[in-house]
Amino acid sequence: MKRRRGSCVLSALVLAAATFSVAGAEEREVGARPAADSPEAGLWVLSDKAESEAKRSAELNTSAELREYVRSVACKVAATHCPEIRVYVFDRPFFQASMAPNGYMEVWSGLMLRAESEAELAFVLGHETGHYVNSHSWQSLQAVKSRATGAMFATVLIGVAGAVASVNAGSAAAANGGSAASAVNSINSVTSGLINAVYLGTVASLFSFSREHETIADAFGYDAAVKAGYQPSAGVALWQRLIDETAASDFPKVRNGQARTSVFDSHPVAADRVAALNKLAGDQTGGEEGKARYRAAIRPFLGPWLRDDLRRRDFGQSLFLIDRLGAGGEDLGVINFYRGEALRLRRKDGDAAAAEAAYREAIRFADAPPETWRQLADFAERRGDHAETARLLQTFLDKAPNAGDAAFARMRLARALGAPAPEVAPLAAPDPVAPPGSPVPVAVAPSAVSAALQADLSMPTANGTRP
Amino acid sequence: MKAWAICASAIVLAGCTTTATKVATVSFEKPGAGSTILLMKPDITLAALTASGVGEPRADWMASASQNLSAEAREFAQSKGLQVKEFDPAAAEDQRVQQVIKLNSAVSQSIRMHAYALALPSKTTFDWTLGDGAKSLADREGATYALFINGSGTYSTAGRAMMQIFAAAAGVGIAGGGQSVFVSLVELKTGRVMWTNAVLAGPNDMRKPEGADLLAKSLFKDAPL
Repeated sequence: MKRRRGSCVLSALVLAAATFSVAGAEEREVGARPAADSPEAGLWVLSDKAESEAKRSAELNTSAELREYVRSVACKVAATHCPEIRVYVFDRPFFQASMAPNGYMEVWSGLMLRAESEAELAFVLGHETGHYVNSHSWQSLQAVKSRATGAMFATVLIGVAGAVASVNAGSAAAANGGSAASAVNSINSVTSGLINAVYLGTVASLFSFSREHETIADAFGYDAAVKAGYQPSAGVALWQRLIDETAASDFPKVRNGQARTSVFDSHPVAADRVAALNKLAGDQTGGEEGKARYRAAIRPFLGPWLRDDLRRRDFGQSLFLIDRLGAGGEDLGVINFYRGEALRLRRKDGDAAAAEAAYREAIRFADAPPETWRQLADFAERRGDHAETARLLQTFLDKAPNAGDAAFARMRLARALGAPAPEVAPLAAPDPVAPPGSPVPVAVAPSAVSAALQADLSMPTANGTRP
Repeated sequence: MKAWAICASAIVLAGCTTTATKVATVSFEKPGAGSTILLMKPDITLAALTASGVGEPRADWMASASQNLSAEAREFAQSKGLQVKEFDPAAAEDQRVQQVIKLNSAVSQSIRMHAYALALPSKTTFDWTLGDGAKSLADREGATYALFINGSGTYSTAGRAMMQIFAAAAGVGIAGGGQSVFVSLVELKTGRVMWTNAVLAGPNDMRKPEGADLLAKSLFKDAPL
């Protein structure tokens, strides 16, 4: 009896497995939209809704130039499907690109920052186009459905088996004078373990299915990018760098995550994908790399995107990324500034000195952000070097007179110079259109405010006196 | 609240339409005859509940339900002597208008959470508001009120019904489909949410005009129009 039930569960699962291995069927026709009454249309409507939400997202990168650039690359790889694909760049510091079934594609800044050439971006966009052209979302839903059906039958069957067994066990235990309750409990826990196993099996096959999709999409992306004239080795280079960055993480869990073949990995182990792409590329060379063009497109965003990246608080990875970005000897002002920021925030032994060295390196280049001088002033101030502090703060103020903290910097500057702090400009007061006869508001003298501020904020200097 | 729970369970057994209306405890102006109400295109998400419980979104159902409820809302507002102006939030271009619409969905979500699902015991007033920024929508569209309708749910497929019977025979209970609609009326001048209603559709099928007609009777119950 028991064995028969077991085989029934098994056959339900095998049946389900058979249904979902029909992957990678046909590619979409150009411009085809599912008919309104087709089941696939539902997915498209939900995607349309998500897309209209995305357009209103605060994280959407609003640069028209960047969007146009990414779109133009997507168009080259999507070829005939180009008009169906809409790319949105989001300022989110994670490596991510995704494709909705309706052709709405998201590329996150974390990915843009990690790709090093147009060829690498082309490979990723081609990969996502592969998901679209092969209707992978729709296939996944179908797979989930059939797998879930298998699991459902199995759950109900095992549930029944457990119920029957526990009733029998109860009476048997009672007949033997033992504790019926404990027998029932142990059998129930065995059954619930079985149910979990069934669910686990479903989940595992679900994710391995998506691995299959990822492999198909990789191959599609490779073909599309190479057809569009891009370097065949770009995909390999990108995935390999991702593996290396993962290994550079501050967190052991992240570092070890790469090697482990967990059923809950939603993507193939990156090493598998590198091997597959390596095989595809073989020893082909040539093709366009588009490195300079790509860097020019992302250059205006290097600063803001690196600042976002530091919010992930994985300084090992951030520093790896910063090294890569600086390897070509470009944008060294911005890059060294953020190297300094990463080290300053990490606060390991020796990081403070290394951070200062990085800021010093940054100011040798014209593109160093004004904040670099302010950060250097902090170090000088801590050493009690008033002249240097004043010089650095003055440079910061010359470069960024309207910085949000300019007033504070002016106050620090005055203190470093040993002069009384300048008066803080009073905030623009609303037009005092007082009705005639109303009492005149009592104004607090700005000098009193600044004196109070100074008293509160001024810190003892190195020799213990207040300036 | 208790009644809601009882009826929620009753639906599974017999099927009925339940409503839970709330009227603002702060002052608002009832619209005079001839005022204009902005009727937001109902946002309805419907799916087929397949045998295993995986929802399969259905475009045709969403479109027809949205259309039916929109027609019912128009009819209702007109019967109260109001001018109706239809508005599709997805097509809104203006940034301010988009922000008001986003804010409304956030506030609606909070209302559903804190006034319905998990009512906050310390919050005895019903004084939710979008703030006076809602005025920008009023100015732009020339309307004094806005009516938002939000619906979602699933309808069982034949396979799911079979599964229910099969599971019931095996002594395991599994749920069938169900749909809920949330409707809110906003005074655009002040941004105040004047009235809300949460409805479990029960047997009234909003995909069909007759079903939507019956559902609308519950939906617009006690609306201060």
